[in-house]
Amino acid sequence: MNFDNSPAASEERQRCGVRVIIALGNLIFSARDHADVRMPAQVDQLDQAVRDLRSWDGAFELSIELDGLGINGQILRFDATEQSFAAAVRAAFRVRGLFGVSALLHPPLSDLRELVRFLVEGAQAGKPAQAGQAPKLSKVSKEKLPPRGTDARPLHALRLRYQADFTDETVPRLAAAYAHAVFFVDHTIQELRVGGESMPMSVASQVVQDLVDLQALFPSRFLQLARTKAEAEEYWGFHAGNVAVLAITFAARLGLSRARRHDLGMAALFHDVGMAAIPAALLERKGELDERAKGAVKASPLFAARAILRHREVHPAALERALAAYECHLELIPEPGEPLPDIGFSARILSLCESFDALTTARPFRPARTPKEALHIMTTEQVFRFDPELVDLLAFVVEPLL
Amino acid sequence: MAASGAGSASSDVRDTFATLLRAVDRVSVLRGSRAQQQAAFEPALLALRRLTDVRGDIFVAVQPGLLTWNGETVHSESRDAGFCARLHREGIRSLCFRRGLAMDEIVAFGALLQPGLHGREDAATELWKANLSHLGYSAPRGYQLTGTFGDDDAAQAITEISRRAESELVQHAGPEPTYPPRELWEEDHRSRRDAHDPGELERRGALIIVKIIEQDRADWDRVPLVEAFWRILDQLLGRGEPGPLLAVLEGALRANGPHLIELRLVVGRTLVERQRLLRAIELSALEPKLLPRYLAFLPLDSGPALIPLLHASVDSARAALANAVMLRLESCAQAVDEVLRKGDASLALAVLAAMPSASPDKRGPFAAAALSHPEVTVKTAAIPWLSGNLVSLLGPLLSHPDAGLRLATAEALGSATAQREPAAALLMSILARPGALSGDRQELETLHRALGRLGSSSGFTFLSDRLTRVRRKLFGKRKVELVQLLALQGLVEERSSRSLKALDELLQAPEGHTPAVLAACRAAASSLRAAVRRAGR
Repeated sequence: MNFDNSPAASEERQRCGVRVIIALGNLIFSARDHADVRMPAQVDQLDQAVRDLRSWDGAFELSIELDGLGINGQILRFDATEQSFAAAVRAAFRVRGLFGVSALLHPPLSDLRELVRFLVEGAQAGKPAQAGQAPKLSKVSKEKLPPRGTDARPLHALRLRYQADFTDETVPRLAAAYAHAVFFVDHTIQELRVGGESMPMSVASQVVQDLVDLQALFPSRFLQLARTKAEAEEYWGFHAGNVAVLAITFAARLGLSRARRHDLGMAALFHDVGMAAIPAALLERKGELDERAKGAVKASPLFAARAILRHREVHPAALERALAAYECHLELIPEPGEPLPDIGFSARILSLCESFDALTTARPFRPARTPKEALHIMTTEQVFRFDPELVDLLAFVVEPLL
Repeated sequence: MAASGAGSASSDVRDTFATLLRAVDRVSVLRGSRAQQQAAFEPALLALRRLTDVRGDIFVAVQPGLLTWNGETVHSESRDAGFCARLHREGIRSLCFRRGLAMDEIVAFGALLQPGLHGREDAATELWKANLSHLGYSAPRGYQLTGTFGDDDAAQAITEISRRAESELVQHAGPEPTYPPRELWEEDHRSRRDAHDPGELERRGALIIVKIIEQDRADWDRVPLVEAFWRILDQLLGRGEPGPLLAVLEGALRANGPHLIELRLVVGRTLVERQRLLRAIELSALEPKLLPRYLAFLPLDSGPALIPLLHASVDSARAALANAVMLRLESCAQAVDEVLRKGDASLALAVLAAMPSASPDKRGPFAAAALSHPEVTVKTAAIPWLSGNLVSLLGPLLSHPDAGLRLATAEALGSATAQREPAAALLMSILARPGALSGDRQELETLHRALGRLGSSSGFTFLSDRLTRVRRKLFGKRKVELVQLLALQGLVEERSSRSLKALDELLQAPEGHTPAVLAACRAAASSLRAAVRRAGR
């Protein structure tokens, strides 16, 4: 539905929308505290707020968005006192797997009460879904789960939007962000090979911002992107894209901030740009690499660091990228007589993600391993190559892929 | 009325932004602690809060050189160089200040506006990362990969990749879990493992650059890499991180390779700037090894830049600076000469202490210049470094009123073996002066020893005569013993067989000599005999 986007209309929508959220949040808090959703005064407040909004826009659509809460297609802003209500509404919707609620006609009070009851019961009874038990998207989209409690009545005017309704939007969105990441790396490597102009770093940054946001919204589906594999001649772009997906997921599971997830995602995209220094023919040769090729591959991490530092950017994120690109290829246990390598935290995560994706991808010199086989190899015969604490956590991170 | 209301509103917004930008300017100059930054932003925060309380959310459009509110200009500056141009170039099209703005948010935003900092990403990324609740922004949507490069193939490639990813998702993806998966680490463990220390990142980053250049992998990227290197040094200096800074400098000094010279040269040209030097001196109080390594990067013609800093620096740093100056004497000979002739005594002394850093042929002339310094301590410190005609340089100082200076002069003359006889003549003339024996005993001993150490023929004759054929009438009975003992010390200092022979002769005819003289002579002969035997071997 298209709404009036004039400043006055936006301002009014913002005002009414915040009232709706505060009223709804208030009801959720009260219902949780008093196990009662009747509270006529608060339901009246919600009713009045929805009525005001409908009188302005002619519709009521509340949506859980990437950046917050939306009312009639407009993202709402909340001040410090309003944030807790917004968070409560958002959490209650997420617990029920809801991504919105809408009403073309004005909803009766009973609908509003039922909605609150449904949201609160979800918060009280809801349990995390067990991995492996989750139904497939196609099945979910067929199940229009109505909010039926023991004494629940059907909703008359309110329409709930489940995440399954978003299938058509989320899948292309995830795929598009991933595809841009892959293309960016491919293009960067090609341009570096011919000494051409590389794409602005801000483009990569924007792609990774979206990847991080999408991971936060759809963690399970996001990880499945790492199943997308390359044909032989297009390995590096897909590999970098998959390492970014794995690394962002890894960082999220560890609880790193979104800024740090972004840093890791960017580092992942650039971790193999040093391959640009190696002739393509050498890399695509079938069978084991000869000594010359091995030497060139060994030097490639320094080229990767160089390709990043040549932009003259020396802020922590850029340095992190350059260092991770170099250090993730170093051996954790050095050759006898060599000093212990200085390997940062990001590089240790990248090293794991990089190996996992490489093992699960078919290469000219060996077939692809299944995720389970790759995990087994990495936690047994190759375990010495990785940070011991992080390699123990890899199974938790890649579990949805196994 | 309406027009005047609108005018007053835009004037409020304009004043608020002026206050904010004044705070940004102040912080960019101070670069102080977080508390100082918060104090600087306090007025701006109050003004913005007042404004948003009265006017609601403030949406400001960002254009190159302009900030506009409701179509009216509320801030204008250079179209190309100001922060508006930078924000616009980096993807920001509008800003929104919301009611409830917090101090941390305004400080984070202020950091973004500071000029001349390399230590940040593009503004859109920084704002996204900061995730500020009360400070929104808008940026163009879409990645514009294909738009930028105008390539249909790119669009086709992206569509194809996207199609493959979609196919995987449809095949494998289920619904999201109702709760997000639990975090695998607690906060304290996370912060321990992922310290994300900027100084540490900079140290490792700079050393990677050194490695790339050392292994000759930089090719046509050498210039930007060197620039990145000194920018890192600049950041470490600016934030005051002496540990990582020292590690980077040592790494770059240790590395070899033909292109490292270029790196050191370029970096040296940057590090020689006064503000950076002053900062390095300041940091050397925390890490004493820092300054010598820092100064090692400076070019050979940087002496004139260092001389004024000798005044400014503390004692611990002065020695390092003086050493650096003496290594660069060619570029600042006149200034050093001036310091040694009439400069502050502490500076002249620091320069003289750093004399070993100067090439040997330069030391003598500069030490001679220091002899004209009014301070006795400077003259004294210059004496060991004198060369050339010591007799003419030192002669006048033997009559100087300061005893310490006379002693140092005598010692130095005792080492002037290249001018053995004239130096001996000079010393003997002092010792032969009427009333010389009534002087200070230590000074007399020093003069006699110096005379002996010279090993001159005239000096030997003088000393042996005073030991064996002392004229009692000339000195008086009381002083004969003193004269003999002093001469004995001179002969011992000569450490030659002829002096041993003189002692033996006296011991063979002991008549007329006091027991004290004989005892001293015996001890001296024994010591000398051993020394002569050792020398003979």
